[in-house]
Amino acid sequence: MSTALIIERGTQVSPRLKARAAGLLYLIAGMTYSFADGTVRGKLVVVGDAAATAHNILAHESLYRLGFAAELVSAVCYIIVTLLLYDMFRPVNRSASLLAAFFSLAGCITQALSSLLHLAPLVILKGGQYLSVFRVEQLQAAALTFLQLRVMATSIYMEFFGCYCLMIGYLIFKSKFMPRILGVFMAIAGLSYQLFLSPPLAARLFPSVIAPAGTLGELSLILWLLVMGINAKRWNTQAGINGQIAVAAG
Amino acid sequence: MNAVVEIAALEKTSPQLQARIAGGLYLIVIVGGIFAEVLVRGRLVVHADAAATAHNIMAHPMLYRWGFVVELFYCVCNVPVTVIFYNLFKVVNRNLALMMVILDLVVNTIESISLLFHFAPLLLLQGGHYLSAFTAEQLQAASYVSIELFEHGFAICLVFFGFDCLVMAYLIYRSTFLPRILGAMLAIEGVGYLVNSFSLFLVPALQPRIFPYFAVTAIAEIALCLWLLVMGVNAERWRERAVAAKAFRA
Repeated sequence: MSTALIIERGTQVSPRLKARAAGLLYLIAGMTYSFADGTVRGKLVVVGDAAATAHNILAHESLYRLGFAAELVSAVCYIIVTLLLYDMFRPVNRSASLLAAFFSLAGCITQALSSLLHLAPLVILKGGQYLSVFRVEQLQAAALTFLQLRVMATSIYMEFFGCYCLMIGYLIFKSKFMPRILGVFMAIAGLSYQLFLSPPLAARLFPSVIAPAGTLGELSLILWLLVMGINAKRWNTQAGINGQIAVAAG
Repeated sequence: MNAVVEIAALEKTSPQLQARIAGGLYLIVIVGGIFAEVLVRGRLVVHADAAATAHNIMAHPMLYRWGFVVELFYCVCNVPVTVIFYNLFKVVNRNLALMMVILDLVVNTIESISLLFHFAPLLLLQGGHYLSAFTAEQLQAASYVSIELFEHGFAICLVFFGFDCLVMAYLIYRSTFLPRILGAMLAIEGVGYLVNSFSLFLVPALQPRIFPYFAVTAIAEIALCLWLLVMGVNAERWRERAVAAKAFRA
């Protein structure tokens, strides 16, 4: 029994290290996502021009494929972030932390699935001889349609991620181990993501409202986690107090 | 005494029985997977030949439908397998067991939704009069595109499954109640899945050449399944870990 106990102890990682790991993975998730969405799709997709888009994709096929892989890496990293933040905020409010994790998970799965719509244009444009029954213009139009559906998918998962940011904002605000202002920033980011409920509105307000609000909220959280970690002593206190309440409640 | 009572309450079903049930359900998943992938798609889908593929599907529509139904059914079987694995492995490391559950959930959701692309060819090929706007060759080509999208969706879920295998490999390796060799084999399989999927995404020409080597590593899953079904887990060692985990948390 005592050896098993030591093994169990050995697998426990300090809350501060977990916070730093969450910050690092959050940063990687953010960078890979903005590479896929901003650098790759932003540069190669020409809105309303199927022929130019198809030409760009085929001319930069490796970059386009790398964008897809980056997006999947982003989803994997964010799932781990979700688990680490669930663990971190469990002492604050277990149900709220679980609800937040569910929102994020729904977002991650939707995002991972929507990457299939990123890949579909390659399947159509690089397809074999059997696709010659369609005219080139038809295939290009179908490819751009998939990319437009990809944009619609963004609205779906950003709604889930918006709820996640709101919940994390609330949990930070209620926690005793992180500055409250970070919670306020995250809540503002989460509220701005709700604009994705109306895709045309989101498209119009993205550069002026959503991008700055989202960056402020999420980047300040990432940097805080990475540089400062969390106040481990206060975290342990909050975990201890709530642990005792749970025991008392039976 | 107190700890013993708690453990007795904890394991309503003995770990041995749980392991055997998981092994049985896992066997359904493996056999179902071989049926859908090898006997249905392997036989009916002719590589890069949309007309021959469409002809095969229309000649054996029931076999094709069974492929869909069986795969959907084993995705459902995967859910209780995941819950039992969580029960068994939470005594090793609760956070990593939770990570395994989350990754499993992502894998299962993506695989289930991708199945829609397996089904779509039936809608296109057996579709009503409204589809006469397209020529038969066009509908066959669209069906083949759909099958290719299914394959890419499946490859996306295998990325998450690769990481899932790595987490489970670690849990088995550290478990003391399952042979370490199963963990080592599963780690190799996990890496195999990741290499396979990312080569399909980044260097598609390479993937068919490395696939046979990767397919061999799937022996790890079969070994794990049969071990659970025939040998179960070492119940005495599992109880030791459960007592230690309880003592640590108290």
